[in-house]
Amino acid sequence: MSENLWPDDLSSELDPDSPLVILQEQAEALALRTHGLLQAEVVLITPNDILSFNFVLVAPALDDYRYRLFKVWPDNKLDPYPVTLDVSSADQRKAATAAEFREELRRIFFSNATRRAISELLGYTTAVLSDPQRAA
Amino acid sequence: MPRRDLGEYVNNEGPECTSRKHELLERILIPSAEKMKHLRGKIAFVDGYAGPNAYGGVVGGSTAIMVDATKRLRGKGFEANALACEPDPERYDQLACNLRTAHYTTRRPNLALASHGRNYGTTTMRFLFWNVKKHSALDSIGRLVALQSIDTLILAECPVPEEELLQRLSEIPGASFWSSSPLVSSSLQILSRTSPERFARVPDTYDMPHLLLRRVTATDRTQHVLAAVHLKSKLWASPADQLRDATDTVHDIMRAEDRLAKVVRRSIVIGDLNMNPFDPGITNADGFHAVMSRKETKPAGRMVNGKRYAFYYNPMWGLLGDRGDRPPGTFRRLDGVYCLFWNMLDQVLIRPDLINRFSEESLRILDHDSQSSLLTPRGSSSPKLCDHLPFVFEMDL
Repeated sequence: MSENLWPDDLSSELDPDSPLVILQEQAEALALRTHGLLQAEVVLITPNDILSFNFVLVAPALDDYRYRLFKVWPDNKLDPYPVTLDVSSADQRKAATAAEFREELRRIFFSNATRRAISELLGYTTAVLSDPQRAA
Repeated sequence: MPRRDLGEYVNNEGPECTSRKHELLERILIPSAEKMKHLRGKIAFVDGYAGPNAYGGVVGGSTAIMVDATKRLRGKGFEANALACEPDPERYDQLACNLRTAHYTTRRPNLALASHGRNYGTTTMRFLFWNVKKHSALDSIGRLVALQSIDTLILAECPVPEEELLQRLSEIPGASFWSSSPLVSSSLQILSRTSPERFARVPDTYDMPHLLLRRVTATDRTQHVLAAVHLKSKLWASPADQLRDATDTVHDIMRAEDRLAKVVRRSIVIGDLNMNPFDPGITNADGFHAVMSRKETKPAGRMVNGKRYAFYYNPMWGLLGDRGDRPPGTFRRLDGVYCLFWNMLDQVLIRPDLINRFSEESLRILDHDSQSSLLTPRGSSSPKLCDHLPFVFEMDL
């Protein structure tokens, strides 16, 4: 084999401040906060070769019901920031840095719409788990 | 032999035998099904003479037990269904209402109900879409569903709680609607009288604020994606943002199509696209790629710059303008130098493989709900009710 010109320390580790890593951390944080009753997953999609991250709530007790809370994409393919956060048809936000991104996530998580979605899913989950027929 | 009056039986004798039967069912359903593991095919629990499934004020009869068993079996990888048969229409309605109250039907996808005199195997499905724009149009909705014999109702921005909607629809003779809406409050709602067996979530997809993807199983067993959409408004989004919204939405719909069939694309898009049929998000190859003539659509799609794009047929083009005795669009707005007056923001788009199932003649924009006009006397959409008009169409599914 001819000489390998690739560096020998190629890494798959992402920058801890990258949007994907931050979203994955927050997905784990939700499961922790709800004692596993609700989980979240980050789904990567690539419409027209533009990487987007969907932040999806998962309710394991409700037949793994899934609901997308918001979507994030980098404004430039090659740079992690700035990013656009698409929450609803009338709610789109921008974050130029990791710190701004964290702040926008906090605002989304504290919003009435998110609180209502979480509350509804937790309510149904609790109802299903406390169903005596299920326990039997 | 005359049928026993269960209500009287519960009041007079107490439900001891019934309780024993339920205990027995709870014990044997899953082990019996597991013993059939070596057999090929699906498992169906059939509850004959199902009754209302309510005893002493508690919902939890045989059908409910069967649905739970079905759910647990599905969790173990079995293909299982519960079927409830009830010949008495009144008791059937009580059963549907009780199960709905206990979230056995509206929240769980694996129950089918049947009643004598009602045929869920109908091949023509009649759809109605309406963006009611946060107006409580409950009476108008009820009248339209009754007048138009609607099978599947899709609403956007409806402020009426779903329980209230279902209650209103249940007052229509012969109608029994199910919810296929998201579990969380959403601007989109889907209510259908088609059984949940034929109308379910697409596996491995998720509900979104602007897009609901449902798998519709036709009577010929082919599977189709129903995409209910409410895209970004021109008020909040630039044309570029709207194109991006369209591109992303089509991508999500295609992922759902891929889940059902790898080769053939079968989807119907219904909703408030917030774009006209001639806007780039609707016409561009990397948008919906929806064209005005069915003759131009090819199942194989079209190659553009080395990439293949699938078509939609957009029959709403045929309803633009004054020809015919109907409104010239679904939304009226007077604004600025460039003003169309009427827009066709609410649309249905159909993949080429489904065009033969679509009834062109059935597509109509509605301006009357049998009791009152939805238009003001001057001829615009009535601002006192809602600035969008509903539309109906039929598909053979």
